[in-house]
Formats: sequence, structure tokens, C-alpha cells
Amino acid sequence: MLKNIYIESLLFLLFLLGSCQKELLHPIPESILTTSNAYNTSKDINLAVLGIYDDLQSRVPTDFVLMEAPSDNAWATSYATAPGIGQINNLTVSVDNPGLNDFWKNTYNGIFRANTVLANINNPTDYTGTQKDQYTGEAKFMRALFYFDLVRIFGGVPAITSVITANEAKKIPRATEQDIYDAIVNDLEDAVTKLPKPSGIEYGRASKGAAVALLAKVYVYLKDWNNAKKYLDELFSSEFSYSLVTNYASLFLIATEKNSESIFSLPYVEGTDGQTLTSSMAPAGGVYQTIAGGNTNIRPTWSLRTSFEEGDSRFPVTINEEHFPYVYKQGDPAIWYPFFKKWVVPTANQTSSGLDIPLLRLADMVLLNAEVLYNLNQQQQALDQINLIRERAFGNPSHDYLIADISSPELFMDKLLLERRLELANENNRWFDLVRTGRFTTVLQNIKADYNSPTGDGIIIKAVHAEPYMKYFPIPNEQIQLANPGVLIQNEKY
Amino acid sequence: MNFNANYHRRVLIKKTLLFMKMTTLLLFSACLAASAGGFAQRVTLSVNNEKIGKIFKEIKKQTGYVFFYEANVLQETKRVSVHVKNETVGEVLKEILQGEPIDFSILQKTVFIVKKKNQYVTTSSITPLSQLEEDIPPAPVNIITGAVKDAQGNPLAGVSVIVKGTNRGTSTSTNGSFSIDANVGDVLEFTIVGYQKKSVTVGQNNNLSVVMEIEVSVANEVVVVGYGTQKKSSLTASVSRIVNDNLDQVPAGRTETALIGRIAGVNISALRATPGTAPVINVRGFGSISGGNSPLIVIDGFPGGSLGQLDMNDVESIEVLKDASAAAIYGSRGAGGVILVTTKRGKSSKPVLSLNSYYGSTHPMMFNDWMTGEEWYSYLVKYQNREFAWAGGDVSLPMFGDSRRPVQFQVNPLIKELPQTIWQDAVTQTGAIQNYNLSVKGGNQNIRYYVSGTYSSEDGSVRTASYNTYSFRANLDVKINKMVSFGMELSPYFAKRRDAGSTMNNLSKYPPFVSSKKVDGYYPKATNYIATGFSNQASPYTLLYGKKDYTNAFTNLARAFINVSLLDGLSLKTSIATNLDFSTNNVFTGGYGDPAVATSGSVSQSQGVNVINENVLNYIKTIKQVHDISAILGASYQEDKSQNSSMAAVSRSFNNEIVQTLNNAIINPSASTQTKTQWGLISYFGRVNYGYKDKYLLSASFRTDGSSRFGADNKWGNFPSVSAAWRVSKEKFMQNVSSISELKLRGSYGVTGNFNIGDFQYLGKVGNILYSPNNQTIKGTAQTSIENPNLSWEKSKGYDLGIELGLFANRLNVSFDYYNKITSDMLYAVNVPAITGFTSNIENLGSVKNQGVDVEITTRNMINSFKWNTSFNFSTNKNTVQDIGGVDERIYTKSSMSWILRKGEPMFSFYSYKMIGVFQNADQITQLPHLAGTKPGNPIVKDVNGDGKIDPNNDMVILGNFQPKVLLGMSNDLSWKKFDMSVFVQASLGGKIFNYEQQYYEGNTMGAMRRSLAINQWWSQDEPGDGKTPAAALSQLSAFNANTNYYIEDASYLNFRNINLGYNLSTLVKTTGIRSLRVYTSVANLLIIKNKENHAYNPDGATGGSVSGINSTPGYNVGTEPINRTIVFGVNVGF
Repeated sequence: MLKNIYIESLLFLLFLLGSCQKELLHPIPESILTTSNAYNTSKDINLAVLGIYDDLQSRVPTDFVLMEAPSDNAWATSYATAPGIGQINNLTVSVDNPGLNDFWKNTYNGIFRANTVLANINNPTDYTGTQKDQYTGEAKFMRALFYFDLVRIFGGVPAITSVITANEAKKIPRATEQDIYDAIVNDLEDAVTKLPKPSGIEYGRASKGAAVALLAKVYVYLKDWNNAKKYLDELFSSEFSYSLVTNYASLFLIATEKNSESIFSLPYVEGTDGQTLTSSMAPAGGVYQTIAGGNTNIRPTWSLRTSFEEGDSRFPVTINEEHFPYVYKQGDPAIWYPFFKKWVVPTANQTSSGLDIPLLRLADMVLLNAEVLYNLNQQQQALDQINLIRERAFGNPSHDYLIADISSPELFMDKLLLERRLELANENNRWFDLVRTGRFTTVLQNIKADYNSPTGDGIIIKAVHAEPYMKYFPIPNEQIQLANPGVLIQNEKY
Repeated sequence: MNFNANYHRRVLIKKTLLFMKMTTLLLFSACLAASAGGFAQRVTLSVNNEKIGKIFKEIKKQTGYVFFYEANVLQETKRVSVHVKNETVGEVLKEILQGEPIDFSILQKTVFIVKKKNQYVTTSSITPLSQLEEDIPPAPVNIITGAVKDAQGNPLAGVSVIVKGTNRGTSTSTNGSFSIDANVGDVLEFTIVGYQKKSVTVGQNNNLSVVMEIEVSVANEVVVVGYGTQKKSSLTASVSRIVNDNLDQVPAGRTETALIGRIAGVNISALRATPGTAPVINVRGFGSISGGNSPLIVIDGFPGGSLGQLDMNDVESIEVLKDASAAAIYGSRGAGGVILVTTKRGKSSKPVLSLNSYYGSTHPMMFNDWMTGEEWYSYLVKYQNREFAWAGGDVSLPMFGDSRRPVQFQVNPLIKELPQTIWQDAVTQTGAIQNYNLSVKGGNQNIRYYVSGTYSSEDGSVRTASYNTYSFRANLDVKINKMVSFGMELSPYFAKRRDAGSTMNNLSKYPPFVSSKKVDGYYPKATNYIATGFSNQASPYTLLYGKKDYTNAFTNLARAFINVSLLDGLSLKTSIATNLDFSTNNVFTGGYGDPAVATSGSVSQSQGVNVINENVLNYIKTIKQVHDISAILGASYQEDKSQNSSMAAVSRSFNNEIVQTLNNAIINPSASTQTKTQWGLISYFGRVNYGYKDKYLLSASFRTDGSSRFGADNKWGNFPSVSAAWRVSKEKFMQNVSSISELKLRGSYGVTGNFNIGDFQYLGKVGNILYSPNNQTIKGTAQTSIENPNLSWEKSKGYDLGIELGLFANRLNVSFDYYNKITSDMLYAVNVPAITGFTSNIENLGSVKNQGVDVEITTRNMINSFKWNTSFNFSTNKNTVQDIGGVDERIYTKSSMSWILRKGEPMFSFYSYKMIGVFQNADQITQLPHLAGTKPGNPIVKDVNGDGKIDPNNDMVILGNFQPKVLLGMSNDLSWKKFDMSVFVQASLGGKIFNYEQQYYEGNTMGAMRRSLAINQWWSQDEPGDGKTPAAALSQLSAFNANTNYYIEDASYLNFRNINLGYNLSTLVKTTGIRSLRVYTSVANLLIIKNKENHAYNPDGATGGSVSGINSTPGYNVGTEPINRTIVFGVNVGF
């Protein structure tokens, strides 16, 4: 009997040894996909394409930190909580600025997702129709958009067009600014041929119109007026049916966020897939019947406020000066506290607002067209484009510019940039417009930022002194350290 | 064999044995003396040519003197003649033995005869003369009966009773009685584990009453080690043991809390003073960045339990395997140390029913210098004027009602006119704490049982926080036959916890003009009184009462095992155990009448099943009485499967606050999820212990583990260890040093591992994301981690050198350990270039060193009717980052403070600017290096590199670390007559916290503030405060104050953690069927002494958690709850 127990026990041990090992040590995850099984069908690729948009969707609500805060449109108070915004606001940017590092990381994550789609695009065998072209076009459009943001912030950056390992990444230096722009143009030209028309693709995804518009914008940045003209002409042709909406305010309302002016917008859904931009702009005490509280990361400058003319319908959409806090009761006085009203919509969900954010809208393209036309010596046509925008803003042509107002290229650019500033305030264009036109060094000096309501004048509390080297922000120091020594070279003077 | 060596060894053994025999004989002779009154003291003899033995017999007959000698000692003697009259025994013997090869000595009435040439006798043959001589008839065999009791008079069952030198034996029955045949002069030996061995010589009395004393000798203490037990004296590794004497009377809530400070080298920090919250346990320093630093908890042999599922009443003892060699037998998971918990088991006795119950009250320890009314108003006026002046305003404008002064710089006089509330007092409570434990244990030789049930409840210092537990335990041991025994444990445990709706700072900083009484059906908030200038936060009462955050957790750790004796000394133990856990978290947040507060709700559930099968062969053998060999060989298979699911309501979608379950709301699809995960671990292990004469001790172990958590080719890790000890006190040359009762030197080396990185980390995981084409949210995919097939074990290699010293018959015991442990191949999320698409990747990289000293001292100061024992422990640890993989340092910033990992410094040190004063005026700012935007009133920070400017790369310095440098604990146990008392004091010295919480109370915001913190700040050049306190202004906080060491505070404290005073009433109630009765009062946290520069409610409290990943913020404190001083009255009753 003793012997039996002994043997049985040993058998028991051996039995477990043999049968359990695989099950115990090599379990297959039940709740997650892995790289080995995630990209096999056309549906898989479609889902992965959504992943690219998702990255941009989560980054864009914080883009104001790098794209508005350094400009004369906005200023950050000391209460602002967005990482690194204080330095950006003052143009005293250190190489360790967390906002820049976050931007770099998020944008390259988006590029990785696009590269993953392109790397796996040939796996599925079940594509129907133009699916494969569409997904390729979307990935390339998005990759181009990410690089366009990077090159405008940092100048030349490492050009990554495939999935790489960490060890490979450590050896990749910065490409030149020109190389990056070439890659952007290549991707967009391919996307233009592959993407369906707006009617053929869901709102919130890139259509051919988006690729055409972005390519035109890129060519404006490259001052390649002819190519810009080519794509702008295509955009305004009957191939597409974009048109300016009549009411400027309707562009920034949830009910009318899908509109004829939108070329490429990021869709958000309150609560489930919302954005934080609304609360980033709202005052801490909230806004009556709108939002319970906010962060006030940036506020409109006195300089921006005084740029609006009387009667400009865009002013009350852009800036709110006196407001009632969230706990307003009948008889309470209004509070004087200007904030960017644009993006502040009624939301029950303070940190998950449903307002969509347009990245490319027709008014932007109209004004770019004005610039292109002017540079191609079509001055009247250029003026017409600006006036198109002004007529909508004022509801009548009484504020139209005359040819005399733009008698020199300098004056034209003054008017154009002013119009872009007013039309696109807090839509992440102002800083880049100032930089690409070289005007930032003169404009960004001691900005009147805070309002002093009793005196009726602004207070210079944004004591910035832009210098030419600041056209690029510094490459995040952490990224330089993580690369092999000497691989990533810092921008000058940082 | 070397003859000489053999000879000396024999001599030594003989000497030892002789000593023991002598002792026995002394006892023996004392008994005889008492009964020898009828004999004469002098001898009269007249014999010729007689055998010496015969003469001895005659002397014995006349005098009663007893003779002891070696059987063969008389062989060489000649016959003698002697004629004496009325001589003393000594004189007679001197005469007789003249010229004989033997000598004698007399002690009382006993004569020892030894050989002259050889002073050592072969002691095994020493026997009383009366037994040697065949012509003396044996003494009559008597039936000896008796009862064995402990010192308290409780009968002891299962005591082994053996007639010494025979194989006759029995054991005591459940009432402690026994019956055995023995001769007068026989020695009865009484033994039972846990008590001192007792020997009684059979005399005239056939009914013995034997009292056995608890074993106090440290050397014979049995210590639980991995997969077995060992005599403490035979240990070769560093193991600390703590026995539950009165730990279950410490009103401490969770088990861990009662252990704080009790064990050298074990740092337990209750970071949050919320009831039911798990404290952080750290054994000998932090060795891992991402892999967790908690020790492995092994409850009754089950690896991977939690101290949170255990009731202290059921705990017998707790052992901590501190060094790598002790922990290596749990190889894979031993890197953070191992805590072994042994629960109580039944003993062979009548059923014993015990009740331990206490009830008492909890009193939060708080601050009493809050500003209210006029004082608070004056402060706000100054505050707003300073802000207005900084903004270029005219401070002479009226404070209120003048439109020339912007509304954000106005102060409404209503704030002083309204009734005042001190919110700290309003949100805290004097609570109740109670614990009722009932247990029965007992059994016989075949079945032993321990059954117990406990209900306990505890209120938090913050209102609404509470913790209730219901725990049960059944431990059973069954002896089936000589070969097979069976055992099991079952321990269902249910805990219900309610967490307060917010952290302390959010509750207590609230403006005092706001009433704590309901108005119009709800608690008013500041903005209801004054619309601007104050936070829009709801009333603290709305946060507290409106939020219902309940966590219900059910766990059951159960195990069954059989133990089969296969051969002599060889046995096999096979066990199967499961740890089930099921927990539910329900959160409902409502406005409690305040319609402005968004309703929200969520529910999450998790369930886990952890199953382990262990098969261990155990061999134990003593060869030739000098070679002690024991060995184990085992295999273990463990699997954990768990799943989590959660749901949440769309914000504000609850129809009302009456029904608070999610069926009354719209479910948010993006916040509803379910996940499953699992891991498996296969381990094979073995250990050999060898002891030579209990003097030279060696131990070696080896374990190999395969884990599912690592890459396919790197699943297996090997964890060897060796250790040795030398008990110097056993050496011959130490025998004369009577003051040293124990001296042992130990040394060990071992390798342990860590695999606490979460499941499937080596895979390139593709997770879900949300995107909303056409504003319809759908799930897409995105890769979330880089595949790393090389991922493998994090390893800790360490050695330990120890000395154990017992002095004055073990009245003073000291153990000292020095250790040095290096963790390498650390598992952590290493930052990688972001152009890969990822910011980090979990890799094996870098190393951290921990070295330190543990000292434990126990003394028995007084041992008579007044007993006083002291145990003291001291430990110090130095933590040093050695390598963090490729870069020299990594910095993470939160609330303007940075935590740095830098080579040569302790992990996660605070890193920022060093403050050296306060700028008094604008001139000073132009003269000294300063941060951009500095105003008068901001800190002057040190220009470390002296380059005239302040920049983060050159002027930030290390400002301290959260880890304490020294831990101390001292417990004094006193008893006198029926009183007993224990006083336990514990201290933690040298740690730091970043007490960001202080900013709320020093006046940065328009909330409540403390006078002592606010009063000394800079207001203006004319009102500079104490020159050390910068302006407390929210606008200056993050850019100028929080990024200096201004909020770094000394976390050192000394806490009178527990005082327990008891009185024994047993004698009063003997007749009522109550066996024992003791009443006691126990006080926890009677007094906490801390640095007066520490302004936190909890001196070492931290809301930032402990070390858990690359972005850890240990020592970060915002809003820890006040600590409760707890006073309870309790009773222990035994039936």
C-alpha cells in the first residue's frame, strides 16, 4: 500500500509536469489582440486607420499650447495648467519643456499608426472596391498632416516612414526641412489620387477634398504659388461643393458643426469621445447654463480684442468679456473676465465636450487663395477673396477693402494676416502665419494682454521678445538624450 | 579515523553529558536528603579483605549516603580491610581508598567515585549503586498518576511523559492527567512543544502535580521558514519572527497596521489614514522601479495572499524572510522579502472557547489654529491688495463695491458677518471601533481543530468613511493513521469599506462663512453666498454625503493537504489551495439636494481564482547523533485567472437621486468594459540543510521558476542560495565563558526574483481606441506596446552577514545583520525614442543597491514576580541607484516638484531649486540671480553653479528623499501580580515628504487657512514676515514656491503606537465555568512626536503612493486624512 501511494504521488507530479506546462506558461490573451493577429482582414485595416485619427483627435485639443499661446492672440495666466504653457507664452522655452515633448511623442505615435497601416496594407485579401486605396490614402494624408505639424514646430525632424525598432530609432538623425516637405507633398499627392470624394467617405475621415486642401496649404507655406493655385483651383472647382456658411457663429455650434465649410474636421461626442478644449478655454467659475467650470489655459489678449472692428459678428463668437458664472442667480452682477468663447459650448460633461474641431475649413482656404492670387499678381481677385470673408463677418459689403487699401505687398499682407487673425482666431494658425511671413519678430514684442476695464486699456503683461531663432521650438531634450550621442542636433540657440 | 581527534571528541561529549547527569543527580540527591532523616551521620566499620563495593553498601546502609560510579571503575580495585568507629563518611572513604586507583567526592549525601587517571567517566553507565548491584532488590513498581498544567493552571493535553532511560511512556489526556508505572528514583520527563522540558524524580508521592513553563529559550524557538520549520538556533539566514501575544488587541483595523515598527528592516507605512486601506510594506529598501516592492505574503503556505484578508485574532505568528537566501526558496517572488503568516491551529486538549472583544472610540488628531471671521477677512484684504498691487492697481480703492477695483480683487464684507464654520471640525468625527472574536480550539491525538469568527468595524477620521469586516476561519488537522495525515484551512473573509467622498484638503480648506446646515434642502456652497472670488466647489458635506463609494470584497483562501510518511524520515506533502476573490466597487455621486452637482455613477467588479498545487518531499535524518540532515524537494504549479468588468453612467443622466443604481441612468458605452487576464507559474525547488552537532550549519537551496509573463525563450529563471552558520558558543573554548549563552555567526548569499509586471507585457499588444466618424463613436485599434521577446526576470542578488548573541542565560539576546542587495535587470518601462511611436518599452535594465543594518535586541530585565521584557529593533537602509540604462538621470515632474532617478542617489529623490531666502524688494531681484518673472515676495533660489542665472539644468539640486534613514521600534512588556502592560513605541527618522497640501492651509487660496502657516509670510517690503516664508499667493505657487524645497518637510516621527494595560480576574470567576478572564484597555497613537516644521495631518502620509513605475511620486502629499487616536476597552474570556 505504501508503495502504491509513493508511486501514485510521483505519477501525479509527473502528470502535472507534462500536461500543465504549455497551458500555464503559454496562455493566449483573451482580452487583447497582438501584432500577430490584429491586421489580417480589410476590417482590421479599417479599424487601424481609425486608430490614426484617434491619435490626432486626442492631441488637437491641446495644440493651442504651441500654436496659439506663443502668438499675440492669447496669453496664459499663471493659473494655466497645461504642461509647459508658461514658457511658451513668454517665449522663454527651455529644452525640457514638457508641452513640446508631449507634442513630439503624440505626433510620432500618430505617424507610427499610419506606418503600421501602410506596413500591413497588403495582408488582407478581402478588400472590395477601392477600400485598399482609401485606407492607403487616409494613412498617407494623416502622415503628411503629422509631419506638417512637426516641421512647422521644429523644422527638420527624423523622417520615419516605416515601423522601426528602438535600436534603429536611436541612430536616425533629423532630415532637412526640405526633405520633410518633399515627403509631405509625396504623401499628399498620392492621397489625392487614392482618396474618395467627400460624398464617398464618412465625415471625420480624410476625403480627396481634404488632401487637395492640405496640399494647397503646404504649397502656400512653401511659397510655391503655382502649385498652390493648381490645388486651390481644384478645391474650388465643381468637383467639390464646399461653400461658406452664412452665419459665422454656426461654425462653432454642435448643431451645425457638420457644414458645407468643413473640409476636414475632427468629430467629438460628448461624454463618450469628447474633447477638453471647451474646458481649457472656460473660466474656472464656469459659465451660466454652459459649463460648470474650466481651466482658462489661455485668454484672449487685449491686442486681439482691439483688432476687431465694431460690428464684426466674429467678435462675440470669439471673445466673451462679461459673463455670469455657473452659479448665477437672478440679480447677480456680471463678471468682467474675458475668455475665448469660441469652443465654449454648453456641455454637461466638463471634460468631454462634443463640439467638433475643424482643422481645414473653407474660409482658411479662401484667405490662402487670396494670398496666392496676390502673389500671382491677381490683386483684384485676391481682394475679392478677402472681401468674401469680410462680407460674411459684417453681414454686408460696407467693410470691404478697396484696391487702394492694398497698394503695397506690405499693406496687402497686413490686411490678409489681420483677416486671418480675426477669422481663424484660436484655430491654431496665428503663430504659424507670423512665423512663415517672418513677421513674428516684429509683432511679438510686449503684447498688451490683460484687460484693465477701469482704465479702458490693456496691461503689458506678456513681455515677450521674439528673436529670429524662435521660428523653431527646441527639439525635446529627452529625445536628444534617448538617441545615440550626436544623432539629434538641437536647433540653434537652444 | 584519526584516533586523537576521535578521542577528544569523545571527551567533549562525555564532559557535556556528565554535566547533565550531575544536574540530574543533584536533584535526585536533594530528594533523598529530605527523606534520609533516620540515618546516622557517622560510620562504624570492621571488615577484612572485603570488596570495596561491599563496603560502600555497608556505608549506605548506615548513613543513607548514595554512591555513584562507573560500572567498571571498581574492577581494578583491590580488596581492603578497615576498622573505624564513629567516623565521618569522608574520613572512612579516605582511608579505604588510599592506594586505590580511584578518588571520591561528596556532595551532600552523594558520593561520586571516579578513576584517578581519567577524570572523565563513561557517563552512560553512571547509575545509582542500588541499581547496579544485583543483590539489591529493585524498588517496588508504583503506578504514578498526576496532572500537568501550565503556569496559568490550564490542563495541558498531549504532554509526552517518559520514564527516563526506558521506552515506557504515555501522554496526558485532555484534562492533563496521566498514569504511568515507575520506580522510586525513576526520572519522569515531561515534554511538549512550546514548553520547557520538565523532569521529575519519583519519590514517595504517587500523585504528581506538574507545572510546565512556557519555553523562553530563544535557541529552541521554532521558526517557520519557506516550506517547513526550523529551530531558531539552526537558522543560517536572517529571519525575524513575531508572535501574536497581544497584537490582536491593538485597535488598528488592518493586520499590517499592528505590525508597524515591530520588525527590524521592515518598513510599513500607512500612507493614508483611511480605514481599510492597505499600508505599504517594504522589506530592506526599494529594489524595483516598476515591478513592485511589496513582499510576497504566504499565508499557511499559500504564496500570494494578502494581509488584508486576514484577521489578527487568527494569527499565531508572522515570520519575515529578509535576506536573499531565506527568500530564495520562493525564488521567483522573493525579491521584496517574504512574509510568512501562520494561523492558529488546534492542540490536543479539551475544547477551549475564547472571546476577545474590544470596543472604543477614535479621535482624529487635528489642528486648532484656523482663522475665521474678522481675522480671516483681514487676511483676504491683505491678500487681494497684494495681488492688486502686483497687477499695478491702486490699493487705496475701497475693498468692495467700487467698480474701479476689478471684481477679482474685491473682498466682500459678508464673509466676516456670516456665522463661521471650521470645516476641519465639521468634516471629521469621533468614531467607534469594535472587534469581537470568538474561537474554539481543541482536539485529541487524531483530530485537532481551530474555528474562529470575527466581526470588526472601524470609523474613519473623516465622516462617512468606515470599514467593516466579517471573517471566519476553520483549521483542521486529522491524523488518519501512522502514515497519513490530512489538514485543511478555510478562511472566508468579507470586507465592506466606504471611502470618504474627497481628500482632506478639499474638505477642510472650505471658506468658513459657509454654513454646514442645509438651506433650501441642500448644503449651500460658497458661491451661493458670494458669487465671485471663491471656488465653485460644492459644500464639503455635499462631497461627503453625496458620494457613496463602497467597496465590498469577498475572499476565501482555502487549502487541503495530505502528508504521507513514506520511509523513515521521508514524507510527501501534497496540497491544493485556492484563493478566490470577488470584489465590487459601487460609486454614486449626487448633489445631495444640490441640483448643480452632476450625478454620476459607476460599478466595477473583479473576480479572481488563484489555484496552486504543491508537492513537497521532506526528508529529515540524524545520523550518529551528530549529523542533522534535512532536505526538501518540491514542485509547484500556480495559475491565476481574473476578470474585471465595469460600467458607468453618462454624467447627469440619473433621473433622480432616490434610485442610485445604474438602471436609473443611461449607461455610457465607452466607460463599460470587460477584460480577462491570467498568469501561470511553474516552480521546482529543493533545499538541503546540514548541521554538525548543531554547531556548524549549512544550507543550500535552488529554485527554478517558469513564468508566463516573460518572452518565450526567457520564461525560466534560476534562484540559488547558500548560507552557513557557526555556533561559536558550542565550541569547547566558549564553555568557560558563562556569560555567553549563545553566539552564532551567519553568512548567506542568494538570488531572488520579481515578475510583478502585469500579464502579457512581452507581447506587442493591440488595444482599443475610440473614434467617431459621423459623430458615431466606434472602437478602432491601435498598438499599445512594443513586442519584447527578451523580457525576463528581474533579479536581486544579496548577501547577509549576521551575529546572534545571547548573554546571561539568554536574558539578553541581540541579533545583528548587515546586508547588501543589488537588484539588476530591473523590469521597468524604459523611455525609448518617441519616433518609434512609443515613449517607453518594458525592458530589463539598470540596477539599484540596498545596503543596511538590522538589529534586534530582546531583554528580560526582571523575571520574578515583577516581569519586564523589552524588545527593541533598529534598522537603517541606504538605497542607491546604480544604473538606469543608458542615461544618467530621469526626471518626472508633478505639481512643480521633480522626482529624480540619478546614479549614486536614492531612488526618486526630490529634485528642484534650493530656497535660501525671500526677495524683499525689486532692487534685490535685479542684484541676485532669479527665475524669470520673479516678484518681491518670491523665494530667492540658490545659484548652484554660480553663473549668475537660474536655470533648471544647473541649479536644481537633490532636496531629500521619501525613504526614512532609520527605523526604530521598542516594546516593553511588564507584568506584576494580576496586572500586565505593554507599551510599544515606534519611530521613523530621516524621511521627507513634499507636503504640497500645506499650500492650501497657508493662505494661497480663498479657503480656510491656518494662522501658524499664514502669519509669517511676506506681504510687502514694510511687512516682510519672518524673511523665510514667501508670499502665499496662488498666482505665485507653481512657478516660484512649489518648485523649491519650501514644501519639503521632515517626515520623521515617534509614535506611542500602542499601550495595553490588562488586569487578570481569573481567580474571581473560577467557579462560574469561566477558565480565565482578563480585562484590558488599549490605546493606539497616544502621542505622535514630529518635527514642528511638518505641517501634515499624517507626518509621513502621502497621497502620491509608493514606488510603482518610472513616473512614481512617492512622498507626494495632498490631503492625507488625520490619524486617529484610538482608545478601547476589551475583555479576554476563556471557557
